[in-house]
Amino acid sequence: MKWEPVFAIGLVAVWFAGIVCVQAVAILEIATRRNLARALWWKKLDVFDLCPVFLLFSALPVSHYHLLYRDQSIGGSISPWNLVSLPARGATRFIWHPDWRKRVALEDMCRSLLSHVGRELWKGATPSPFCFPYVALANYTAQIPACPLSSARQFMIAQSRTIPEQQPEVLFVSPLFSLRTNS
Amino acid sequence: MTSDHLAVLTLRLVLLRVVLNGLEVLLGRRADYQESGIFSWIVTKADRSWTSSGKIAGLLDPGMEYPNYLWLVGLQFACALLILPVHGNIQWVLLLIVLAIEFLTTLRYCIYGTDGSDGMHLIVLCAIVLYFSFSTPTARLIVLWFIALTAMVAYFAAGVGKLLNPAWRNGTAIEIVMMSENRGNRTLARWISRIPHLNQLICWSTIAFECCFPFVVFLGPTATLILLSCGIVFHFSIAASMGLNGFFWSFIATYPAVFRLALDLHSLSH
Repeated sequence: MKWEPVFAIGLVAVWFAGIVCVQAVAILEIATRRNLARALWWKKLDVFDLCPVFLLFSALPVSHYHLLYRDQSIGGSISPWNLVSLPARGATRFIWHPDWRKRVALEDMCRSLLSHVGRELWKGATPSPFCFPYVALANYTAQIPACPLSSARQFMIAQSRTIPEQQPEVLFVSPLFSLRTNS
Repeated sequence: MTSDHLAVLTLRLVLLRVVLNGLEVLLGRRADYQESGIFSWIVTKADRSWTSSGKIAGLLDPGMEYPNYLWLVGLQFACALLILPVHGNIQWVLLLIVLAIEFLTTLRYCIYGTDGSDGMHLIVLCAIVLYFSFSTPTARLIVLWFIALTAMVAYFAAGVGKLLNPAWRNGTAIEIVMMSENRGNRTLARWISRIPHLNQLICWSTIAFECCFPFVVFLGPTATLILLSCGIVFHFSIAASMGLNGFFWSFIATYPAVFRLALDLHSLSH
């Protein structure tokens, strides 16, 4: 199998070059504070993210996002805001941490939605929240059990800083959307 | 230790993470994959045009919808358990099944709910499948070197990224991370802040470890073993304090390859 070493070198060289390129661009973005996403135009082909960014906490979690929801009844009255709570992190999380992905996914979706709305506002357009993170968050909050008299729901994203600790600040409120009815 | 011994060790570490992930999905977060869950396929497939409609979507949907996806995770879990204790011939087909389901899982999460450990895990898993696909020792060695070099680049990039962040340089980064809601440990954060300069020491130790990681292999196998031992302690402490157990398995899985690279560099220079 004389072709194997040549094939191996070619394959890993291309792959490794991609990984190095992604890290270099990520570091340059931090150093120059510029968006260099255009340099990674080929990343859209990397559907499985085989060239990921390994900055690993170089960007700090300075904010925490709180997801809340409230309902509108068929009579039109609006309920108070309810916090979408997650189970407390247990002492065994160093080996057993099943809710880790959900926590991170919710945080990522909140951040992405806020970035999307921010970009829309920056463009000067009438901001439309409709994007994948919005749909995902709406679907998630819509499935939380509701009072039988509730006809619509909306969710809110509030942000609080990690340090210094402060009261949450409302950043986004969704439009009301119909709740699914079981038929 | 031969390349094959080190590759089998890498494979076992990667498969341990697959097994743990499988247990967490099947026992701890089944509901997240239902239609109402955060990882509902009906929602996540909409993030890409080729998974939301067309022939590929038609092929993916039956396996990715709930509850079929859980059967796939169970299959991956079973295959990983079958491969784990094997000493001799690795069943390549089982490995391929584990890898294929890992690719499907990546599609499921999109970019939400993943971190650097998932990226490293997939790279090492792909590479180790390649290793056992090749029959020539040279090709296999190249794959091991690739795993080692990827780990070196990952650590170095993380170290440089931290060096460029003022919060890491002035020592406040550890407090920020430990006080965060999803990743932190507030009890530990308060304890660390009581000891003068401990924050700065931890920050600079982390930066030094990550930045120096690629260069220690040139100092020989003994120095590399010491570094890798520090790495094991480093990742274990992150898992214990922050619950980021994925990083432990994903990055430790690269260490046999790093050690192999150090051995080869040492042989070349003597």
